[in-house]
Amino acid sequence: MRLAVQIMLAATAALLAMPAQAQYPNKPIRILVQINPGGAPDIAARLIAQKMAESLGQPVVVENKPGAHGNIAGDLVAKAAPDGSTLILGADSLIAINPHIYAKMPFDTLKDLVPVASVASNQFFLSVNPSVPVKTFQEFIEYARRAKPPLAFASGGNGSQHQLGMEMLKQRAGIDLVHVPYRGGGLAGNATVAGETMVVLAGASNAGLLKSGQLRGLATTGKARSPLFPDIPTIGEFYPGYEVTIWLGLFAPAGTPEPIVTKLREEAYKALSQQDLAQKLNVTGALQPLILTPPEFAALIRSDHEKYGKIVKEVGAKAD
Amino acid sequence: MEILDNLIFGFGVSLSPQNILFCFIGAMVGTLIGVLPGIGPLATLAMLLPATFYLPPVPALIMLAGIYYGAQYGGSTTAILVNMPGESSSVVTCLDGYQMARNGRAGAALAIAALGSLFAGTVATLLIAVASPPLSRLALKFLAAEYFSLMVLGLVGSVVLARGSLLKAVAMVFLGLLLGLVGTDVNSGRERFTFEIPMLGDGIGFVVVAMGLFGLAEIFANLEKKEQRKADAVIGSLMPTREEFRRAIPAVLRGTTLGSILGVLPGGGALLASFAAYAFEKKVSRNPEKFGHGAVEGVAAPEAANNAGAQTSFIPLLTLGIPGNPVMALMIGAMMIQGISPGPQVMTQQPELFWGIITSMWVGNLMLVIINLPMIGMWVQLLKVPYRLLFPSILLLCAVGVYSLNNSTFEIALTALFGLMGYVFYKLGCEPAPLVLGFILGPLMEENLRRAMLLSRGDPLVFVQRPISLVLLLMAVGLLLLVVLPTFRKTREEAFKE
Repeated sequence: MRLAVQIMLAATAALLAMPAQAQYPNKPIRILVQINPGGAPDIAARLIAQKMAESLGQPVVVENKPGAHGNIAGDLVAKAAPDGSTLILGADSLIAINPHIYAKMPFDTLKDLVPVASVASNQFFLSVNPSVPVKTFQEFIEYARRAKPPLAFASGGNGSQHQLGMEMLKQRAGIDLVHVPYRGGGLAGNATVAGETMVVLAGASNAGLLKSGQLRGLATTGKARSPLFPDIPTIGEFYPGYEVTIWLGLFAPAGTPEPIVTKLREEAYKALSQQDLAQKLNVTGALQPLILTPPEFAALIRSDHEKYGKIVKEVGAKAD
Repeated sequence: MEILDNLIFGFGVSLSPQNILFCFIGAMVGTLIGVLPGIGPLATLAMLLPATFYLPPVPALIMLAGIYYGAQYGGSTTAILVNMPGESSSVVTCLDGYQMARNGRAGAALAIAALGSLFAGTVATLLIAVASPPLSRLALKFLAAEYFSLMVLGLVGSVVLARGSLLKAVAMVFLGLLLGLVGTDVNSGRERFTFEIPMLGDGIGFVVVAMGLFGLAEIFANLEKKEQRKADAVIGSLMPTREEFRRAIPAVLRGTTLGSILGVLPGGGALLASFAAYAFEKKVSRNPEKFGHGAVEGVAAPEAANNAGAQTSFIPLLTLGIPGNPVMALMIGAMMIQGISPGPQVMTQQPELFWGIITSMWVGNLMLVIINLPMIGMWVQLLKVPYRLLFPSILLLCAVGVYSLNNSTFEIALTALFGLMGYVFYKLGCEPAPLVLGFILGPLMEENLRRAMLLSRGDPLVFVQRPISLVLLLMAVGLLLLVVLPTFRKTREEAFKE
């Protein structure tokens, strides 16, 4: 009886504090993922979901809704009830690239979703087939400039970050490369190992090829050098301002009350700062936890949206 | 002895408790569906694909492979005992196997079938181990142009070797190609045939097509048949006589050779191997008039051949990543679901998968003999499970399986649609196998064609300038010419009539 009274008192206090969302979370939370189980966003979602479930006291379920480069999952979340029970762990490509490559988007990635928390980031390695006679990034640019016919580069598909990142480099360095799309980054890396194409932006799925020397890494695309390969410079060291960072973030439907968004952000960041989670992210998905303040995250989304929009318009990538 | 080392390494993988368990499950399920007429390995594999998602790749593929060759065993049991082929590849076993049973030699026929299959399986396993490494080294030279030519050869082969009308086979291949085009084009990023349905943006799932066309359609087709089952055969002694052994051994050797070769060919596999081995045996026999009246060669040869063919058809899959027949196409689907892109790199990048599967085939074959001989009585009892109980449960499992792939109810509806389509094809006498091959190979062919053209800067001569590509294209042309020649057409029709 005393316990019941205490609970009631506590509940009343909470009610007074946040009238609308007193008991949040009062039902299970779903985190949608835009790919099938196994890829980076899925791994990240499952790791975070587990930690959040522990501290929120409600089940947090990861649901895979693959299709249309994430538009299917994104659309489901954008149209879900804005009560914090449906979230998406989305990739930057969904938020910042899809709006530019799809002629008809089912929803507005900037207006219909609100950013909750940044989750993880990763970068590409500019890599060549070891038969290409270059050892450094500068040598590569020189070699590519003189190559006739131009070198072929592999990408994970039309409008993929593999392609757009390379197109930006082409513009900055003033070189020509022929774009050869594959179904996904893994296959693009394999094709470069086999010598079908000579250059590729290798991502997490190609990390093994870089380590075994089947691909030669020349530069990274991120803001800072990779702790895994500290000798490899960033492209930004040669072309200031060049940066392609891949990130994942947690988003909620627009209109989700601010206290709920804040609560979710705190929980996500609490989970991300735990050492074991960071380690698992790194081992399974070659990802680094990314913890940004809300204004920082908003700025990243805006600048990427703009950056990709510009390059898509210039090279004419499409997926309508 | 590199091969020996590899095999030892492989046995280390396939003899782990987990893998033995899944090998056993596969062999067991395979035998089960082999015994039950109306449910083939193709349908079963299609239905089990989603389940493999929850397993690590090695046990998943070991299990699926076990189902395929296990079905070849089980199919012959019912063929011999009750004159009902559980599998299409054991149709010919009925001819002499059932006659042997009527002569009171059922036990001997079963023993010969099992031992012949074990021998063929052993040889085929060794053959895969010996032939795969050089073949995959060759395959590493395969770039876009070679792949394109190989797919052309595969598609032509699937038409030539398809059962029934040639015209229908061609039509089905083209339908498969068209279905394969649905979705986003890799090269231009444009969507094709998606009717603005976002769920079609990534194309139609392979499991959806396979489960609908093979699984559901087979059930629909079975529902309209009257149940006729009888299980009253006397099994008799399992031990063949000396005379039977003497006649069976050379037949097994010939069957194994023929089956191993035919299994490797595109479009080949167990079915073709068993028919060809029977026809060949009849031709070389000194007393062909005995065939059809309980000739032991007529059981030994096709049984050895179908098992050898079933196993060697893994060679193109494991070395080139090209499916030789629809069952192998399903195996590719299973590999892709596991995130493995089939091809020559599998052997070097995932040796435990490659050698584990190969050696598990031998383990599985041995297991099959052990499962089958003492359990024949039980398998025959199984024939008494009525369809009205069997089919609804299978349908439910199918729906659960499809949903679990992408958590999409749309795909369940699509599967049902393909099930109806498969039923219509069945009514029209159109084999769905060429369609599935077209569906798998078509998009790959287009991708490689366009990639080769991109890399050659638009010069189509690349396909004839590269020697491997040229040879493959010439082989395709040769196959086409064969079809046009009247003599071959006659033999082809005969081979499938038998």
